[in-house]
Amino acid sequence: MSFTFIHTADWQLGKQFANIADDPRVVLREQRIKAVESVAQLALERRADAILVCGDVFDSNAVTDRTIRQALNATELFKGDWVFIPGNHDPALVESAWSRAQNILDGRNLKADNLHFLLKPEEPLFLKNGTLAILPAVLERRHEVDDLTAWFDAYETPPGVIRVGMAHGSVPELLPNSEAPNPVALSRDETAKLDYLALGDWHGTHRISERTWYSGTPEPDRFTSKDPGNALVVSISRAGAIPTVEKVRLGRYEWREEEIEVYSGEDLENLELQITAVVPNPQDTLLKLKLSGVLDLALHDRLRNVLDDWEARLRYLNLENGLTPKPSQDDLDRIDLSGFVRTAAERLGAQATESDSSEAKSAQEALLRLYRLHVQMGN
Amino acid sequence: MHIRRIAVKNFRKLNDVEIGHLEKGLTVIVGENEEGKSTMLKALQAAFFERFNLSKKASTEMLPFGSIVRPEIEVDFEVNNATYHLNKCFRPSPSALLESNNQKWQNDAAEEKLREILGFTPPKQGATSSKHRGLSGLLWVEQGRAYSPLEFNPDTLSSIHEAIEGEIGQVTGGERGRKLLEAVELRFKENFTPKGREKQPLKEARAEVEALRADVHELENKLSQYEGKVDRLESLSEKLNRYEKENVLARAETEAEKAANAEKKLAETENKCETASAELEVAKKSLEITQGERSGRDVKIKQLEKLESEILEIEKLLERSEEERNEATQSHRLSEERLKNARKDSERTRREWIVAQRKLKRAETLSARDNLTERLDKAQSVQEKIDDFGKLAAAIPIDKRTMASLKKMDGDLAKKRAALEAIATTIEFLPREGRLVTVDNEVVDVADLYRIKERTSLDLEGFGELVVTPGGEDIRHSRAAVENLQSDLKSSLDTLGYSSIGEAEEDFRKKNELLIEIEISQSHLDGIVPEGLEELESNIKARRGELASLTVGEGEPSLSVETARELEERARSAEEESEKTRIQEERTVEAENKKLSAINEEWIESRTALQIKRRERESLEKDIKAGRASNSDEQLKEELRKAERQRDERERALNELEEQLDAMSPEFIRSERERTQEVLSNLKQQISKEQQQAHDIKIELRMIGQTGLGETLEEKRSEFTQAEQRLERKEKDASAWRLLKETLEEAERGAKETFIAPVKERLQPYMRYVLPHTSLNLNADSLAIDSLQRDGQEEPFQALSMGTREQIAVLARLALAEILLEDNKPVAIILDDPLVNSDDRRFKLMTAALRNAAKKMQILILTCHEQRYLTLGTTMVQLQDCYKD
Repeated sequence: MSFTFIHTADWQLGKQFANIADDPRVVLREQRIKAVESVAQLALERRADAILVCGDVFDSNAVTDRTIRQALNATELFKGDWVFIPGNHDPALVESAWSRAQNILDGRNLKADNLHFLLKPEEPLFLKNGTLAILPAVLERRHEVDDLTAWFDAYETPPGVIRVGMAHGSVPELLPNSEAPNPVALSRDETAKLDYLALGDWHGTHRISERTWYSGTPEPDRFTSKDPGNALVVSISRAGAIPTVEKVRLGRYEWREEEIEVYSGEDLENLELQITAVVPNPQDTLLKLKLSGVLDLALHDRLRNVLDDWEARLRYLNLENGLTPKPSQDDLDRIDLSGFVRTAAERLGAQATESDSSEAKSAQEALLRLYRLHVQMGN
Repeated sequence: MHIRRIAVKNFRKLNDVEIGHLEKGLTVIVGENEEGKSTMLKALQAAFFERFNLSKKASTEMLPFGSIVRPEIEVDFEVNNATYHLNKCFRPSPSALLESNNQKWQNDAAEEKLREILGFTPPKQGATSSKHRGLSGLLWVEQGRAYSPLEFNPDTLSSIHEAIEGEIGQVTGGERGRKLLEAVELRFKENFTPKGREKQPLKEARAEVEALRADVHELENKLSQYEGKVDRLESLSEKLNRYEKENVLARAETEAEKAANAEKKLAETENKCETASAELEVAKKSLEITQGERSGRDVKIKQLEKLESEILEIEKLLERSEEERNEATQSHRLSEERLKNARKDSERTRREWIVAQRKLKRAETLSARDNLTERLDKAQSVQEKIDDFGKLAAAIPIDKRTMASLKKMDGDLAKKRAALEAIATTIEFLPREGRLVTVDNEVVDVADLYRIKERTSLDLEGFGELVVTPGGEDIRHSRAAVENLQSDLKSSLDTLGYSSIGEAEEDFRKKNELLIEIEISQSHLDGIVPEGLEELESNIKARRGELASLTVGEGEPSLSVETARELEERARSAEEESEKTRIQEERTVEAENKKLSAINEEWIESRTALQIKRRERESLEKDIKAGRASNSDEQLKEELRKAERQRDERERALNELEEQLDAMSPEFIRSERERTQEVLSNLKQQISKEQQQAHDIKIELRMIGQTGLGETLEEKRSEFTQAEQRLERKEKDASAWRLLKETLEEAERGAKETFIAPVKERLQPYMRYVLPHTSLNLNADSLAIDSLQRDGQEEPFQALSMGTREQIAVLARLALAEILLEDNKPVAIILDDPLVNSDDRRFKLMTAALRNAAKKMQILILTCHEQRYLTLGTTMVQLQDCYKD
């Protein structure tokens, strides 16, 4: 008897995106709920039996009831089984987002028998008339030192039953720092004879082995993730068979990070081309742009225009401007050939390149303003 | 510039003057007051700077007073090695001609050329002022203006700028620089106050960040409290689960039950002990009763024996008591007899003493009465005398007031009479021998003067009757007054019963003597009876009354006071003696009474005791007899032995039980029971408390959880981050503008310093020479003299003395002129009496400075103080020699 399910994780509902300006922030927050709906839609389309959500459904246990209700509402689209385990952001404490979700459900008249919150340690869930055993690793606190999947090894199921493990944590062997909390053994799928081990915590989609995968988050939420914005459609034909895993793109917003050096007018033109190349869809892109290099005042003024344009086009531009404005002879001549203004410009120029101190930064800013005033005043 | 020759015609007071051959260097033109030296300067200004076709109104001033002729000025001069001849005429026939090297410029062209070579801007219309005269505006100083601040017109300023920048290059920013700085200042002011303090927008942004920081902090606290509670709930749940898993409560219950059973067993043993103990008590009691019965009988026998001996004793006592009683009764009777006699004695002596007292009293009263009566007799005789005098005095009618009134009337009468006398007609009779004069048939003594006060008929013997009527109202009046007074006096005397005033006076004296007598007698009387007669009389009356009550026996002689007192004393001591004896006897009787009654009481008591004891003996004998009848002494002994045996048995049984109980360690069993009970109850309480706590926390967390603290905190953090970024941007912006402003201002200050340096450099040698150890502060923008720096103090130009002001203003002109000269600007200095306020020493130094400067440029000094310039050793031109006649 075959079994198809959607593997997803790290919805991080209720995340506030504190470092992002107001307008895009609101959109990003709303998009996280929409992502859940996309997952449900995918399950419908693929006629999946269940959706397995591997932790960090909520950004924290202290999310609002509204967020919890939105999450529960979003699941209504798919009537199949939803199986949830807690993550390090929403561990199964006595009082948690989960206990509150359960309360909300209890308070509703409609029974939601298809929602399974696996909150007790070492307690498996049997679905499909007992032909499918789901073994959960339940985080009861944010950080566990022990591998909570260890009990899978010893837990026996009747022959022919498909064994699927669910866990939220990292695989220490694959990390530079092997002392990561909430460890999951690299070979757990083998030692526990699992048909599939669904993992959560890493926001990018990642294959550990043919039976062990990180689905990643369905909607990207940071600049640093590798390959986020997907869900996995997993099919297992029978117990012991190799599962087929299909990565499906669901995410809407692209979070891009670019580092560009600028030293000349030519570089400035390249910069425009470069951004155009990596941002095909500016309205759905959040761009973190790290600029470095040295530009004279005239080019700096031009750069400003280019960046203002991009800021207007993109969903969000996060600019880390490490450029040093350095007045050229031409800049200075343009400001004034002689007289005290020229003297002042030269002094500021010297200060601006003297060191990396805050004084130098102030001098750079002062110079740029002087130049702009000069441009505004015309000749 | 070099002015070589000046010729002026018909210009104000200068009708025809020519100063030729003016040399380069210093020339002093001397002219006395009103001679036209200042007009000469005006003429030069007009020639160079006034338009030839100046309007009539403006040019009228140039005309000589009261005539309409053509003012004409000719000047030969040299500028930049070119020589010029200028001829300018004003209305009524204006013209202008400028010639140089065979070139001619006429009228407007001449004016144009002049502007070109001298660099000035004329006014659009009308006459010029110093601001239209280019460098001359600064370098040509009119009379009385040398101490004023330097005046720079735009042409002069621009010439000086050109000259300086020609030397040191362009340093100031010009108009563009100024505008740029203004724009920067504007942006600076948006963020800072003039003193550099932050303004509202920055402050607000900072306040917003701080407020949000506080909000975030508060939310973090709340969240951390929330999380603390979550942790607490976790640990509580874990603990409760552990209780359940480890059966903690059930274990405690089992233990408590075990301890309770042990205690129950203990209680049973204790009960047995108690029963045994009670039985023992019963046995003891029974033994006690038997013992009591036995000892009771023994006691009674002993009691009986004792009673027998007591009765014997009492009987003996009674016998002795009877004897004592008889003796005492006898002695008592004798004493009573003695007392009776003593009482009689006492009564008698008392009576005798009373009689003696009475006699004494009577003797004393009699004596007192006799004294009083004697005093009364004396007093009464004095009183009678007083009364007689009084009657006599009262019979005299006159008193002091009436007497005074009579005397006054008499005096007045005498006065009036004298007055009448004075005005009466005096008649002197000189009759022939023997002839008589009679008036009213009375012979008048003719030897005396005769005064006639009323119509009088004089009978002159031998002549007949002569009737004289004294004349005038006065005498009549006076006479009437005398008569009135006489009649008044007489009537007063009549009323009193006197015929003359002398009589009255005599009577009044007698009355006074009587009154004195009365007074003396009265004081005598007061001496005899100070208490008054009445008092004395009533006193005597009282004594008499007393005497009446003190009657003595008939025929008993009256005793003297002394004798009576002696008798009384004797009677009193006899009474005291017999009283003493009586008291003593009474005491004796009383003592014997007491003794007798004590003996009686004792006897009665012994008698009663004897009866009681006899009755007791009887009853005891009966009692003992009855006891022996029911239970013999042998039987009683046997019963006692039996009771002792039973008691011993029961004691043994109890001891055994108590040993058993000790072996059980009852304290331990009880404490164990208490401990396990407490453990169980504590455990139950704790579990229930922790369950309640967990429940409460759960509810609380659920309530807080709904508000989504985590989300709220993140949202607040986002607001905070953005506010911080905004503030950072604002601060960056503000500090950039501040830096830009400060850098620009500093550069501008430096530029100004640099710009002014060449002027200072030229000026310094002059200053050193004339005003050593000083320097001038010049304004780099306006070039005006701001102040003088002297001995570290800065003195504003306007605060300096006029002398110093004119000196430094001239020196500054020399320095500026040097710079201009080096830039080939048309420089010539004309000073109209410039040093009138300077003292001789400074004057000398100044002229030396001028001489030195004149090595490079032409300097013309116009003055009326020839003497002061004589020692200068330079060309002197006398204006009066320049007039053409």
